[in-house]
Amino acid sequence: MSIPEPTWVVTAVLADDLLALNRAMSIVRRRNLPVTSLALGPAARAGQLRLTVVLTADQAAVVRMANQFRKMVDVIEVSLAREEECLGREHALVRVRVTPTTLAALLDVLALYQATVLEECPTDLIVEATGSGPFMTSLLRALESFEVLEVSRGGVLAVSRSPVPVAPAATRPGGSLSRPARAIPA
Amino acid sequence: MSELLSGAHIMCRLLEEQGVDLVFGYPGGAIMPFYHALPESPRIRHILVRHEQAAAHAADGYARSSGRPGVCVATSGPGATNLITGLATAQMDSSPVVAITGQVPRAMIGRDAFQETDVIGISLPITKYSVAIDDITELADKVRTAFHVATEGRPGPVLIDVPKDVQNQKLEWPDPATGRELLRRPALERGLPGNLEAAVRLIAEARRPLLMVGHGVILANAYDAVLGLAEKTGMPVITTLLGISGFPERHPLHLGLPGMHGEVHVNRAIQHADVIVGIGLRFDDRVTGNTAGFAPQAKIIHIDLDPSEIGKNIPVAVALVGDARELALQLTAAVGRRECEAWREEIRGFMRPRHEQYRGDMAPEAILAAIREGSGPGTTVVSDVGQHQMWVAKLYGYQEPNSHISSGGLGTMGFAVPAAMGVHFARPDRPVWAISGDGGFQMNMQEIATMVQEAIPVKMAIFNNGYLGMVRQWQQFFHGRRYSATPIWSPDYLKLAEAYGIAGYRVDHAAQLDGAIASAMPEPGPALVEFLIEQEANVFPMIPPGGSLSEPIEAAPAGAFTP
Ligand SMILES: Cc1ncc(C[n+]2csc(CCOP(=O)(O)OP(=O)(O)O)c2C)c(N)n1
Repeated sequence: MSIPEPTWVVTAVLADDLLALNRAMSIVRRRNLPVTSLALGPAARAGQLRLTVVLTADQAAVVRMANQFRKMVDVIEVSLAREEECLGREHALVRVRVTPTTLAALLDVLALYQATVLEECPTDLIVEATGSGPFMTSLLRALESFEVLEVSRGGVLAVSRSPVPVAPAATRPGGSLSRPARAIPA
Repeated sequence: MSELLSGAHIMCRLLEEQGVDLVFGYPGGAIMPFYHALPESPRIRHILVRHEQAAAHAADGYARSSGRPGVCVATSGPGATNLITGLATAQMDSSPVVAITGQVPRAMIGRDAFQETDVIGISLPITKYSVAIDDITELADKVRTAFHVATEGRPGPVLIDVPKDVQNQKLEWPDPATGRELLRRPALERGLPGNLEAAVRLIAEARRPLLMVGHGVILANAYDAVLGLAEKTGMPVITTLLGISGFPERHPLHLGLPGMHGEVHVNRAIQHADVIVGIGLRFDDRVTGNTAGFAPQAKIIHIDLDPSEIGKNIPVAVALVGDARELALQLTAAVGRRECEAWREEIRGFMRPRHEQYRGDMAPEAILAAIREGSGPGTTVVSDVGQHQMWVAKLYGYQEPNSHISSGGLGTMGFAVPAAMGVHFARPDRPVWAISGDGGFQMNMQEIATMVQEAIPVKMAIFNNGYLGMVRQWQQFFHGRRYSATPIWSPDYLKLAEAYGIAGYRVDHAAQLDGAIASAMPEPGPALVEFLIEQEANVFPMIPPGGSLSEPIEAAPAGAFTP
């Protein structure tokens, strides 16, 4: 039996230009790495983009990829961490069908997932939710019975955790400090 | 207010500012403003090639032999796409080629305009950097950045795409001081295994150490430093295809070429080594064979400028990231003096005599010896790709730094003739030979016209075996002798020479060798010498593709093709 490959988060800060993004992505494409999530947005400094790539691969392959990133012109910073060394969150907007008979049940589910209703229409709600990848999957599964009309997921955003570990979430009263506070079926 | 200049004028002045005095190119619609401005920069000599691919190879040859950026220019669309093979060749072999392409006017981009090609998109994966100029105000910064990128650290090709209307925009000469804050790069990977002391310890404790020299030694001008390291430690020296002429071959410590066509004793030395110091090489698969079986007992000390090379192909015990020359000097200062006599004796025991027979005594070594003796010291040999490339690599006996130039990583047929033109301009007073097979020669032989027009005295050798020899060899060994699409007809090269008005010689017996070379050398312009060689000669030994260095093929398989 082989050990499952770890999941990695590679974060790159790039010059704010589509060519830089194109170059970064062609490294990933050429190596045909199994990317599970990609997120792109402005970085902390103006004129820079932050690209977050989540992938599952052996260490040698991701280190090679990170090194290729580092070599690229217009890459300002690269960091590579295992998934557990980062705090990652996904963001999603979901449009879900609602009828007078399903409204109460739907609101219950949304409350359980701490999802926010952004807009109400007579036939559907637009809902916003944030959480880890499995959390989002679980939410979407829970919403299936109400008929999901449209989903827009943003991809994993991550920041590295402080290298000095705080008390592990499981030993703290009330569990993890991060949302969602309540236990969600995995 | 100072005078307004067109984008094209600014481009020419920027080339002058970067010290460029030579460009290889070919005009066309989208680059015409540049060509209009060029005559106003008389310091820049323009060489009109006969195919843009040749412009890129010539710029590459110039860059490799001078260490300075080589510049090529083409129009949009087909002109730009014709450069691509040359850029990919330069990328694989870390050569600082700067390509400038015209582009359709900005308003036409994205509308499939006449001769519009997304050359930035096409070139991205095969250049170190490619950049489009979106406005004349960006021109100076981006051109300066591109030249900087091409030459800094590990060199590589860059492409600058300039829309025609940007070439016609007007601006004052941009002050050099305004150049954009040059590229910020992330710090090199830290926490690489080991350090100088660890390397010193490994070398001191080694019983069978080897030094492997790659292209990085030539790029870093580390010739003397590496020689010093070898002599202080007595480590035998192996030179990869692009490392050839990074170490004097008549030196007693020089062993030869490793890998697919490496000598048996060289590959056996690798398989027996307990420490390998690799400088400026990437442990390419043509060098390692099957990596699982490569140097099974050796701890690898890898010295390279490019941290992404460390551990890329094979695991290393110690990595030293930085300039090859500096690190070789530091290592030499830190290691104790030692010898490797017993180990060298052991390697001598691995050597095998060669016993191939060649038609009319036209052994490759006889041809190459005649060229070497006939052209004397200071000669640069540029090889093409195929069987002759391996012979040129293994049998010439290079004594001077960077005197052997070849397309290693991409293995581009058609490279030799145009690249040799570039070498001539870097070394105008020294002989340059372009040695090709009859296949590769016919890929870029149109450049004879360029040589005639520009009085470029490159001497061309054709190893004519009537086949695409290296592919034929693989067919003989691995495809049951089915010579599918490898017999190749050639024109009468003497008449070809005559048509171009240059001297041509044909040699089909060893006795004529010296005479032909002696006649070709003093020709003031280009000259061509055709060598009729054994048609089915093979390059031995050979590691079969995917095989380990321990399994060389040393004789052709018996029997003909049976379907
Ligand atoms: C542009 C290009 N096309 C195809 C090949 C594949 N190839 C490698 S060696 C070779 C044969 C070369 O024949 P020739 O130029 O006659 O040289 P020889 O091997 O006979 O010395 C071929 C076709 C290549 N390396 N480059």
